[in-house]
Amino acid sequence: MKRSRSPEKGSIFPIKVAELKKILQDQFNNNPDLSFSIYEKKDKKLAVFFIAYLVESEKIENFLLEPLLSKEIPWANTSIKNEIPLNGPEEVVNLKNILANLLLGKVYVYIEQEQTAIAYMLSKKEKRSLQQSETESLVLGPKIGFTESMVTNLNIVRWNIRSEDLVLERFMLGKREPREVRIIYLHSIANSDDVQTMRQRLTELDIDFVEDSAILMQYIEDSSSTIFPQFLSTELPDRFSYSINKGKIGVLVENSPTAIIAPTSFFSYFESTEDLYMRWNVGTFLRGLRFISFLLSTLLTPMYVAAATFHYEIIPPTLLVNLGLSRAAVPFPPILEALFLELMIELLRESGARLPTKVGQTIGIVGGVVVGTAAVQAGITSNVLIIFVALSALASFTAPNYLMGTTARIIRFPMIILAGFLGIIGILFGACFLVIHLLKLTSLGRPYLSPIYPLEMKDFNKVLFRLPNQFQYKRFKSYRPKDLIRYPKQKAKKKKDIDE
Amino acid sequence: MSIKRISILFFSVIFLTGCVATNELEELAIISARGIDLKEDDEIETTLNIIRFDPEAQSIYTTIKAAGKSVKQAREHAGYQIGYEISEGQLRAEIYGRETATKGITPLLGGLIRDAQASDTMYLVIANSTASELMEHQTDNAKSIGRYLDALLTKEIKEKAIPASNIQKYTVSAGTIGQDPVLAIIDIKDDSPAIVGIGLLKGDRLVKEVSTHEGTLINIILDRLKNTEMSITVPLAPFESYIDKELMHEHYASTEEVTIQYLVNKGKGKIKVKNVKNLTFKTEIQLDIDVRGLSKPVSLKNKNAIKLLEKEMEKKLTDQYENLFKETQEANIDPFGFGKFYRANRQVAKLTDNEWRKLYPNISVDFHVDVDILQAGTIQ
Amino acid sequence: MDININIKKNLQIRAFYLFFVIASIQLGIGILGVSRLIYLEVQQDAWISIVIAFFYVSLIIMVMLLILKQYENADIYGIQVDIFGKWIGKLFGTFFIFHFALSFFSILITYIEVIKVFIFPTVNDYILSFMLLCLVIYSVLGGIRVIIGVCVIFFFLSHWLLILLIQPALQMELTHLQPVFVTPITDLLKGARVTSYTFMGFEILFLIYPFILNKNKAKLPIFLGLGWTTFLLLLTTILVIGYFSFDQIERREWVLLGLFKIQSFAFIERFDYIVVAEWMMVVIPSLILLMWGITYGTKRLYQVPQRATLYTIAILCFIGSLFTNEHFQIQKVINWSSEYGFWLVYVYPLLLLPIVLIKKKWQKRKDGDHHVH
Repeated sequence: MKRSRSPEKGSIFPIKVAELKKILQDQFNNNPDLSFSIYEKKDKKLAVFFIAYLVESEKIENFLLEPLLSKEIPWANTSIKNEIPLNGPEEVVNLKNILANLLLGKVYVYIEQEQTAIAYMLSKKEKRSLQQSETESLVLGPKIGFTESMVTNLNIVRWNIRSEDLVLERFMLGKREPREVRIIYLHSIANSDDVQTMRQRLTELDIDFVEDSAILMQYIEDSSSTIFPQFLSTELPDRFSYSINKGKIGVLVENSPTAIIAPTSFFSYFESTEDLYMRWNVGTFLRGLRFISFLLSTLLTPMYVAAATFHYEIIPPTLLVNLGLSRAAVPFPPILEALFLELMIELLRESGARLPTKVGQTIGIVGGVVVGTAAVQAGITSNVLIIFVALSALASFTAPNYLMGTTARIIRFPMIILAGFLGIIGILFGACFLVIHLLKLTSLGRPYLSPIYPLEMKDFNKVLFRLPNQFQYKRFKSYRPKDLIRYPKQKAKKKKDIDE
Repeated sequence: MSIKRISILFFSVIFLTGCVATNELEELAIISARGIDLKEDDEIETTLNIIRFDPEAQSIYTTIKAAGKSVKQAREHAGYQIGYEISEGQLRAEIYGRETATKGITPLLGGLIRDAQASDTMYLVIANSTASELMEHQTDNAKSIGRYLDALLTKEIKEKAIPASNIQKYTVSAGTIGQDPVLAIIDIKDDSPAIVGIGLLKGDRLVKEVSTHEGTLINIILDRLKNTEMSITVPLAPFESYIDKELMHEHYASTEEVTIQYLVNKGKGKIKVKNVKNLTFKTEIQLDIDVRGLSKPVSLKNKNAIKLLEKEMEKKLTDQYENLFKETQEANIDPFGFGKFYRANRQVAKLTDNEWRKLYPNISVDFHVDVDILQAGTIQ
Repeated sequence: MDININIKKNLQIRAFYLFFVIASIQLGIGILGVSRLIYLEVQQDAWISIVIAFFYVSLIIMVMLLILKQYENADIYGIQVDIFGKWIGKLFGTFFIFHFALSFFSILITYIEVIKVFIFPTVNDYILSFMLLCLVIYSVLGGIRVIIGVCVIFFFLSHWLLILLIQPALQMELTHLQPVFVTPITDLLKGARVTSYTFMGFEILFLIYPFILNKNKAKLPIFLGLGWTTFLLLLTTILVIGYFSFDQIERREWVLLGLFKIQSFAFIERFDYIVVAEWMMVVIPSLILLMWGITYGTKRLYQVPQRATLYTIAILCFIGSLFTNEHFQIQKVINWSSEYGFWLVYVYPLLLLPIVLIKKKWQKRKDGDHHVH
């Protein structure tokens, strides 16, 4: 901000055009990409310079060079500014600024002996067309995904949230290779403390460059040693704008198709916008299913290991015989058996993810059917465990958020080890530890386990289950939005008598 | 301290210690039923019905016998006969020989009650002869007698046909003053174990055996019946006018009695103390029943016929109750639990077992049975 | 040392959390066996003893609140220093710390014994105590907010166990509870005395009170918490008496756990194993609250960093638990804790109240005199 107020301070102008060319070429290590053209007319020298490939060269030719060279526009800053039919001319003087903006796709026109150079933003970015998101798939609702282009993404966001209230703060992150980062929030709803925290974390970040939003997320997270994600990442503009509307803060990074949403709670990783598109009762069921899935996927195999290793008493008599018969042929203790099988499932998943879709599917079938059956027949695992492992793997994929699903799968391993060494006591120890750990976590300074702790009963109907829309007239209180009320409470309909 | 440090420390401690003794399923010989017989020289002979998962063996069930001075010692001796670790955490039924049961079973139970690992839902039953004889019967059902008895008793107790006879119920009854426990008696019938009667115990000793029907009668008072099948035989004479003469063929050998098969929808019995000093009690029994079948062609279309049937059944049931009660008084056992109601209603000091045994033969009980036939529609 | 303390805004807690604090610290290891102890004193009238105890504890809590209200924002450590002077006040404060430490230790070793009796007879003591202490350290390091969070969450995570009591409730023998009102009052009082160990823990109020944000609303949650404990105690005692016979109760040390042995579901045959393990979630909150009391107290009295006390006490308890593994030793520790706590928690506040009131009055008069002159 301050820099722009005193433009003359770092000014390199006026300067000879040839000199300017030399300076710039030095800075760019004589890179041929830097296109620096000098034109002469009536003793006046004019330089146009930009980086090829980053700009729309057609526009330069048609709207900048053509008028300047063919028509009788006098070569002076004022006339250029007034008569060139291009949007947003800007006067710059600072070399550093020029260098940085060249890389963003600006085109500069400098007339010798003028005090400033004029810049036009004519950046061109090669981008893929909008596609359906692959990591998060929805059955209902908008399916379009973010792309790598910031402009496109902003366009989508603006179209989703058409309000002058929407703030898109711009930051340039990275010392070596600055990259555009945007903080997006609704001014009248989002908590200003949270916005300030986010702003502070971004500005205080002192790194060379940001590769991707996922990496930026790791830089600005509250705790780096935990296994749980603290910021939500999504590829779905739909989900993004839904969260922004709730009063959360979004972050978009240039060149990254995933957006960051903060602050989050543990439970928001089990939310899907689909719950909202479904009827409230169906949505509640689905959300409940996901919570149960998380528990199943972390506890089912450890329970098997605990029961088969220590607590044969808790196995129901009917299951006992089947379990015993299938275990009898297995030469390993249950813990190794379980770890082996879990590892195999992870291998299948990983190889499936790395291969092209069609081959991946084949791998899944081969792995699931052939290897599974063969493992039981070869006496490496028991068939009961196959079911448990498959069930818990399946359960871990129900989490709408990929990061949380991965976390659930990884937690299982220490839990299995604990169960294998200390049985059910070990499992409970692990569970207690996890709960305490979750309690200690924060996301952007907000408690991770809200609304359970700090207890906000009124938020339960948004987080743990869903009530019909007439009860949803308030926003999520745990994040302390500036404006709590979404719309006035609707009056309950008067009940009619049966045949009225 | 960061999580990393804690977890590193924790796992290192776990790995260093090597940890807890394991009970891996395939290395266990799981006792599913245990028979106990007292030998003459104070020895206890146990017969163990064992499940072990031996891939070589034909059946996962096997039976081994071992003797010792105590149940635990016998188990230790049994350990020498089998290559698996004997464990009793899944014990489903403990079977006492008849001889043994008459000598008292509480001392033999000690280990199970004190052992926190033992289950409270396991059943206690009495074998008609000796436990080993019952358990060594090598038919299909008898081989897996533990699981078989478990299923059989669970079903019967769920239908409330016999009083609950799990270890918890037994210890409560045996320990409650003014209440004596009852246990099912098992014998081999047609090559498979079956409930043949109900043993009434005095304290912890078997003194008397009654039929399963009488067992149900006791259970009406101890518990509530729900969807329980019962049958009763009443004289035919009062129904003279409702008999369908055409259907009354000659092949009915006896024409004096009719047996009624019925389903108790709801049945409950309530003991009330009429007068504490005079030791008079009132027992009200209420049965709501569906008549399922009659052995003679008695028509129940008429309202009066149903009324009559209700009355006859009430009379018969009252008789049965009074007989049963008289027999228990003679044997001085209180399976109905009159004593506990007496104790509960007496405002003075504690009642002792001896005191109640002295009083019990002198109490008088007024049995009042009320039968309501809700459905007889399908029987015409 | 300051008598009144300034609590930072981010450490303050809303008053209704006191419900969870009181309920969590009282429900711990005591409830497992207290029914038996009362029953041995007063038989079927045990529930009357619990009601008496409830009223007495309510009285004590009122007294405590009255004492605390005399000051602006003080805890017991500050009040005692104010009343008795620096040396005696600190000595009395140390008594409280010692009381918390003793309770902490007794709960720790008892739960270890329960695990050993019910699940792993052969497990090494030190694994279990190491595990529990790890959890305690990990959560106490999070500070008061995390500690209260643990209370809240574990409260919800452990109370599903009540569902498992339906089955034994259906098998109750109601005559075991009759005849009522036959026990002489002295026995009833003796029975009420027995509950002291179980009800203990509410003295944490003396410490936590300054942390409360809206103090005028504190009374209701405190009494709700106490009421909830009393309700559960009544419920379990009545169930125990109705469900078990006399000799069974006499024989079972942790009679409450016996109630869970009858329940079985299609997928789990025996619930007592699950319950004993799950009880960790009941024990941990009381352990961490007590540990917090110890660390906070030493910091207040002797300016020792909380971290240092935390690790020291944990190591001491770890070593101590290795040497107290016999049943009678554990009983002895519990007895000490209960005796010592009885005088400190149930009697001492009654003596402290008049002193505080007199001192305050005297101070006021002195202030008043100053104004006159």
